Amino acid sequence: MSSPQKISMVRILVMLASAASLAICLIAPMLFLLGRLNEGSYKASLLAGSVGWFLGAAVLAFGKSKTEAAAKT
Amino acid sequence: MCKDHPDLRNNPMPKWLTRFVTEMDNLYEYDREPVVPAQFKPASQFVGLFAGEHVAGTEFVIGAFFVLHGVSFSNLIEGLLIGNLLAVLSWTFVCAPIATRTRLTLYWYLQKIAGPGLTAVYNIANAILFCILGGAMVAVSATAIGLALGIATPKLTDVLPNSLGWIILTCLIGLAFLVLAILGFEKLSKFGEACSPWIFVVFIAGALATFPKLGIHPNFSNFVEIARSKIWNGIPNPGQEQYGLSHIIFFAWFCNLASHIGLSDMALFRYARHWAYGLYSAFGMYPGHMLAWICSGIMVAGVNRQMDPGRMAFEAAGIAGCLAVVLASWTTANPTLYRAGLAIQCVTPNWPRWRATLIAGLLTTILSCFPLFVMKLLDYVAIYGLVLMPIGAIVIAEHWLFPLLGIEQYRTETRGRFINWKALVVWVGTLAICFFLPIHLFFRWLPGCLIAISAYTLWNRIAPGAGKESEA
Repeated sequence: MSSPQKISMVRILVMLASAASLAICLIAPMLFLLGRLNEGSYKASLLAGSVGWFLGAAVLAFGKSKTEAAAKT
Repeated sequence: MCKDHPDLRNNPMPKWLTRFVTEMDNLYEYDREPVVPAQFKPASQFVGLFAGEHVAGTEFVIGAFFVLHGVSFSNLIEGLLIGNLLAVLSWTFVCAPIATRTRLTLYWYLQKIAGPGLTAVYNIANAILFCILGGAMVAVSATAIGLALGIATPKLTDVLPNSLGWIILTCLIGLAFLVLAILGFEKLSKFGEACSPWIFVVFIAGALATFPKLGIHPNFSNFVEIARSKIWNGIPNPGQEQYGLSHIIFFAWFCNLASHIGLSDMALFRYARHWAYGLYSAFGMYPGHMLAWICSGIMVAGVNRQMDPGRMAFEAAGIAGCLAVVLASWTTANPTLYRAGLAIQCVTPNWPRWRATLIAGLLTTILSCFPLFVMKLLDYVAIYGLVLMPIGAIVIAEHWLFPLLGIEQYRTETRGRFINWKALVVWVGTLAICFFLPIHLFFRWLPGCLIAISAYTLWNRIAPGAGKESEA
């Protein structure tokens, strides 16, 4: 697999991971509402999902700026 | 700044800085010239921009205040539906058509109509108002960080800082926001864009997680009953004024008055392919404002109707909630500081951007110490829109009514005048009349807008020659 294909593959995976993290942030309060999670677990899941989202967003933003810089040069 | 900028001629600068300044010059030149079709943006960018821009830290306060002001559930829903629709229509039929016809920012279009003198006055007013808004954002985030440090949030009735801890905290946060705004506005804006969907999700998560505390069943079967009895129960908190349907309609409408009727969003819509792109503002009003205000209302009910955004978010969503309050405030304060800096820069003699932003940030930091601006946020939002509205009304009159009535447009520009005194008098006069109008603050802008449009048009219609004597 060539390098640009690799980059786009990684980007897709990171995007999926970010979307999954955001989904965790939504699913956790629903499970808490349904009584399937206690308050502590809900808040911890929300925090974990948030961290995942920001990590993914940072990787995507960083990757994008690197790709843009490479394209310029 | 331009390519003949004195700093560039007299001070030898490193290459990277020269390149930076040239790039900035290019950006300014872009603003000065009408946008050309090649630069038009697709609809999806407008959707994203509106959806992201209208979920800010202040949303935690606004929705909560509706509960504290004793808004009933039906009034809230009807008021938000109607008010937000009026806001969308204002963007679509007032702001976007002028922007797509002129392809200019309000700043440059105002120069043609009101002259550089009045544009400078407008910029100063805008900068001060931006700083106050930024101060409110800093104060909102201070409630979240203060929670961790054990610093009490000021009371609803507080005007002055209630403790040394609050002053130190707001100053530190204000300075941190300022440093970040100076160091990397562009990059941080991109980070802000990444924050938007997450902040939106935290609002929903916080509201959902508050449901069990309020006794709402997982199948939502008793949601309306609980909403009517425990959240928007129509009973204001002690000392708070009762708000009804008309208050909510008008608040939702004028919440972004400076952007739509005040025309500052011309900067955005000049990139639109068609004026109907104004309808995309609905993505900011309905999933943005409406949902966020409802969610924050639910969250404040979960903390016994105490106005403390930090505690409210922490109780509902834990550390992620506090983080959301801080990030939602900061992502809005960052462009606010930038815009305030830009407004100051336009009226200063070749000040670099960082220095103008520094002044704006210091003013914001000082103002953030005063709880008045966050505890009276709804009134401040009304005043903010009201102050800038007459300028939008003047531009609307000159753009649409002058050609219809055969009045010469852009006389200030064609005659090379520094200031359009008629516009200044109409602006100040409208505000004076609005001040004395015997109606609630929320409703004053509408008659004020009609007064400004009629007065400016009539004055130019009946005394077209008067301009020679009255205008410098």
